[in-house]
Amino acid sequence: MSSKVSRYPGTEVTHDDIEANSYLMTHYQAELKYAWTSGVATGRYLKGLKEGEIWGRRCDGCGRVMVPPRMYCELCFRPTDGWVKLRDTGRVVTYSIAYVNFDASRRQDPIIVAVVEVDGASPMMGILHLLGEVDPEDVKIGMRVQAVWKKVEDRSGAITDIVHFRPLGGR
Amino acid sequence: MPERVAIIGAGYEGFRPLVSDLSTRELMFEAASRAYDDASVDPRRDVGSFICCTEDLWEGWSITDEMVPDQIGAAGRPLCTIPADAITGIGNAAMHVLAGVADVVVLEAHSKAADALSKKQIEDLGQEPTLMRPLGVDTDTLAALEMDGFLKSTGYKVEEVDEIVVSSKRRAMHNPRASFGASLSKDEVAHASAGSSPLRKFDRAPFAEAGIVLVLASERWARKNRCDPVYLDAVAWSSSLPWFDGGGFSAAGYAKDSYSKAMRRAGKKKDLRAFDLLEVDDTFSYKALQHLHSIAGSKSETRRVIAGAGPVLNPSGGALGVGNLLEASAIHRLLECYLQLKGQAGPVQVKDARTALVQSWRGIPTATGGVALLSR
Repeated sequence: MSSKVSRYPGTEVTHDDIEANSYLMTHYQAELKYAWTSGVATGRYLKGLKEGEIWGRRCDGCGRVMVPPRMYCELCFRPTDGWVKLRDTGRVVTYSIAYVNFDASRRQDPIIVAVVEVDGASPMMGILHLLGEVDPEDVKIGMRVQAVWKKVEDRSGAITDIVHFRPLGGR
Repeated sequence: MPERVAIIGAGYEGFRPLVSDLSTRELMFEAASRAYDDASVDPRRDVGSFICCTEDLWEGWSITDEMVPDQIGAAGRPLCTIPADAITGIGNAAMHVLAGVADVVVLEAHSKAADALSKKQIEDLGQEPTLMRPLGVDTDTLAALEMDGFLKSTGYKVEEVDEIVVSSKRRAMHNPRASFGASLSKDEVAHASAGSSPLRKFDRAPFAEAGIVLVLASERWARKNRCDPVYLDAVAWSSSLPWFDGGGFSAAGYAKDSYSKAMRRAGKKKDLRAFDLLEVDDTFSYKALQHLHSIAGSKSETRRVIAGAGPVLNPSGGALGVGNLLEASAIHRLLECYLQLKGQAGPVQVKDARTALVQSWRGIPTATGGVALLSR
C-alpha cells in the first residue's frame, strides 16, 4: 500500500534539516559502563580458552554435557557435577553469511556466523562463533570444523581467543 | 473471607557490597535453591508462574527476560520480568495466585550493583530529558532539594534524621545481612561532609549486592501441603506526583495511598499499633522520616515510633545499614519480615513478632512505591 504513496501529507523532516538544527531537538548521549562478574562457570570457561582448551560441565541428573558451562542444570534444576574437557572440533549446526556489522553498517566482504556443536558436548550444545578459511558457498550444515586459536601470547581469556573455526583438515 | 496468599519459603545469597565470586545467574540460582528447599517445592513440578523484578539498565543488557529462566528453574515455564521494585512484583505474584493463574508463584529480585560502573549515569537517565537533564543536576542534589523542602515544610529537625541514621547503622551491626553497620554518634552524622546540602555522606544508603527469592502459594495449597507460612494480608502500590511536579514535600503520596489501600484491603483501621515491626524505605535517611510520616499520619505518631514506643522501625538496619539493593529493595524488606515472623531473624529478632508492614520506594527520582502487610 505505502509503495503507491508518492508523497505523504505534512512537512517532511530531512536528514539535512536535522544536521542544520532546523528544529528544536534535545540531544543526549548516555555513556554507560559495566564490568560483569564472570562467576564460577564462565570464569573457568574463559581461563580454559586462554589455555587453548574448551571446557564443559556435566550434569549427572540428565547426563548432558553443557557448553558454554554453567553451574546449574536448567532442566533438572540442580547443581552440575563436574568439568569435562572437550575437543576443539565440532560440526556446523546453523550458519549465516552476514553482510552487516554489529552496528548494522554494510560490509563488502561477508562474515560467516555459525553455531558449532562441540565434540564431547551433548547434541545441540554449541558455541556461537565465526567460520574462516572457507568460501561462503562451500559452507554446509554438518560440516566438520576445528578451532583456530590465537597465539598463546595474544590470548586474553576471551571468546575471541578462538579466531574462528575452519573446515577440519584445512581448505 | 477471601483466600489469602501465603509466603511459604524464602532464600537468599550475597548481601555484600560486592559478590565477586558469583555471576548474576549463579547468585540467583543459589538464592532460588535455598528458597525451594525452605518451601519444600520442586520448581520444575510445583511452580506455575515465575516473576523476576529487574531493570535492564542496571543489568547492562536489554530484554533481560531471556537471561532469567534457567537459574530459577523456569526454563520452558511461564515467566515474566517486571522492570520495577519488587513491591510491584509481589503485587503481581499475589494477583497470579488470587486469580487462579497458578497455585505456587516464585518472586525473584537481585542486585548486582557493582557490575554497573556508571551508576550515576543510570540514575541520571531517570531524569526528564528535555527540561531536567540539560541542567546537569546530580540526582543526589534532587534528593537534597526534597530533604530541605520536607524538613522546612513539616518542621522536623535534621537531628531527627540523624537519629534515624544512628539507629539504623547500630541495628545493622547485629544483622548478618548488613554490610554497613556502624557505631556512630549523632555528632559524627551531623558533621559528615555534605555533597549537596543538607544531604550528607551518611544520608544515602551505599549499594549492595544480593539475590532473594520468595515462594508464594494460595492459602488452600499451603494448608494442603502442610506449609508453615507467613501470610501476605494485603499489598498495594501507587505512583504519585513527584515533589518537583506539584506533589509537595511533606508527605510521599505513593506511601500514603498504598498504605490506605493495603489497610482497607486487609480490613484494618489505619493504626501503626497494629504492627510489631515496620521495614520502611530509607534509601535516603530523610525518606525514612518522610515515609513514616506519610503512613503514620502525624508528627506525634511518627515521633512515637522513632522513640521506640510503637512498632520496631527497621530492625534489619534498613537500606542505610544493609545497602541499596535496587529493584530487590522491597523483597529484602519482605525477607526480613518473613524471617522475623517465623522467629528466624537471629540477633535482630523482634520478640513475639506476629505482624509486620513493608513500605518500599523505587528510588530517586521516582514517586512510586507500595506497602505490603504480613502476619503469622
